[in-house]
Amino acid sequence: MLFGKTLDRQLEKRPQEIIFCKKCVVSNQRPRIILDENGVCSACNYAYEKHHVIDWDEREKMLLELLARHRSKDGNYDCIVPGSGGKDSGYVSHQLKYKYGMHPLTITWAPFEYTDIGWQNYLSWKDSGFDNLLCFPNGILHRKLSRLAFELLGDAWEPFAYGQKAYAFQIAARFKIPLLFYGESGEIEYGGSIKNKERPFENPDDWKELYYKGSGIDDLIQHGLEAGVFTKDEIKNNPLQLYRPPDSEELVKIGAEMHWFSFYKKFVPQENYYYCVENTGFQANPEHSEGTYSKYASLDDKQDGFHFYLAYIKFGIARATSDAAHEIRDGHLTRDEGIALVRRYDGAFPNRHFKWFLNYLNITEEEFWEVINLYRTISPHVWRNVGGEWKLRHNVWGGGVDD
Amino acid sequence: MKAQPNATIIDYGRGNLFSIERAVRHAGGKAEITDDPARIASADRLILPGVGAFGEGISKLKEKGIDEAIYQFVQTARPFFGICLGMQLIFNESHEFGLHQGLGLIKGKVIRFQDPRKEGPHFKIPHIEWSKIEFPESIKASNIADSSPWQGTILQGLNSGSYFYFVHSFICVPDDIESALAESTYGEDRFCSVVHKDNIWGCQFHPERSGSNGFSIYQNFLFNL
Repeated sequence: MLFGKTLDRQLEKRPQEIIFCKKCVVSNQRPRIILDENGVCSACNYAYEKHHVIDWDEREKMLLELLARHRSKDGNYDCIVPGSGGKDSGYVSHQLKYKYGMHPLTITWAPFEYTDIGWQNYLSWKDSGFDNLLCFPNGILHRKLSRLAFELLGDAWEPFAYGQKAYAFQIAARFKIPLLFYGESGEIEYGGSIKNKERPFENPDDWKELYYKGSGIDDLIQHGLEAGVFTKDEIKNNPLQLYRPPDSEELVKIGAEMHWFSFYKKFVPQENYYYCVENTGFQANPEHSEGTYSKYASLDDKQDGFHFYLAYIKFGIARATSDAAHEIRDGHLTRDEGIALVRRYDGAFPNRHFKWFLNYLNITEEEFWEVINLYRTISPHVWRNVGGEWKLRHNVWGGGVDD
Repeated sequence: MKAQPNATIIDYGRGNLFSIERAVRHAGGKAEITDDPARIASADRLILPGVGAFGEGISKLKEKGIDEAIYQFVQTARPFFGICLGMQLIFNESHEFGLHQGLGLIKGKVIRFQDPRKEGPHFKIPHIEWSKIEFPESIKASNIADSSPWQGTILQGLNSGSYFYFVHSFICVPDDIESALAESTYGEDRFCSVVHKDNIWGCQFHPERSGSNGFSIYQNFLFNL
């Protein structure tokens, strides 16, 4: 290890007592999730509103009003849809263009390395009738950032997240397209902050608060310099500008606003999948993703499995938990079925791309496990070492060593 | 369990009655939709919704004798709430397509937004989007520091800068600046977005289309006034 420490401040905020939601399978370890007085998580409460309370005809009227305000008359791009060509961006872009008569420019911040199925789905998406800008950031710097993030944040995937959002704003500013559409708010649908529960948009005011204050990338660069991962030469003259949003004044000037499509249209991932098979040439994975039972979500990046595996180490819940929780909320699974799936798949090691991952980060297998164990040891309420083997203290079926 | 409060929603053929009914129920109240002047005059709480033009709105109210029922109701000091056109109708007069007399519950007039400037960002009219509501500029900062000027009002619990959903081309200008409880800015206009006088409340935006912030307003209307 280079540092032997974490910069991930959200780990300090994990409740020491692990409690699972009574309706789904998620636990209170998920960052920013809230369990109410009945032991039900904020995502389940939102799902109830989504299926029973929200007046979707009214919401569609608001969408029409928003689109009327932005729709171009001369065919110029009038909105940006960032995405991978997966089921969600496929659904949003296809609806905007073919149902609502918009002129979307789709943009893609590339995965660390495409899986075959991910690349096929990306190609099929643009082949279903979309202009697309695909951006690969500098490969050397991206790998180094990923290496640093793996150790310092316990998630090698983090640099992707910076660019995913910032690149969209960069394109908005450079092409002067004020309207951006994201699919769903992961915070709301998967559990997290409910601050923006019923506000469908963010604007430069929010971005100042959310993204400009102590950018995570600056921490990584600073540590990278100290450890000799980066040379001073390498990072001079702002080579990482695509990881940072443009100057907020520029966004104010064009009147930028980012909206979640899931506010306006009922968003059900499984239904988006069927829609995209029909309309954007989307194909599911022939085999299920490691660590979960699903075949249609988050499958384009060889790093995905490690992002979820590290969540398992830090929070004791992983990808099958996330997938099952969402499908329970949408009524596709009962809680018992969900628990059985979590029991069978959650936390399975992502072997398929392990060699690739080590090679990509330029680390040895020993170094990999040192980092994993660092995150296990700072999570003593999640894990217990029993005779040299790490075991979960608590899990959703009550089979943890301390249950 | 608190008793379920009743809200009566006036049906005069102008407005999104069902979204309002839904919002009242969701906030924990019972809702009744009616055009019967007797029921309106004897309501526990009264909501005047409204979408569309001022002139037609006021003549519909008069046609059915609802205007008289509203005058009777407001004498009782029970809470009255006008939404969007329903807020504009409680002013003295409107300049929308000619000059029209309003209900005159609050002194002031309703005028059109200024035309958007040619230079700089273009503000389309109607104003259809989410905008902030803020403490009125007439309130001194020193007063805000002690406690929120919205404490004990229909905006209780909300922060200055909260977003709401607006759809309108005309704005209300109260004669008495103190009756503006909140203000918003669009284009070159700073306008009164929430008005208050005694038991009369009105908002220019649509709380039933404004998510959880709007939900708080319905809850305040039902439980806290």
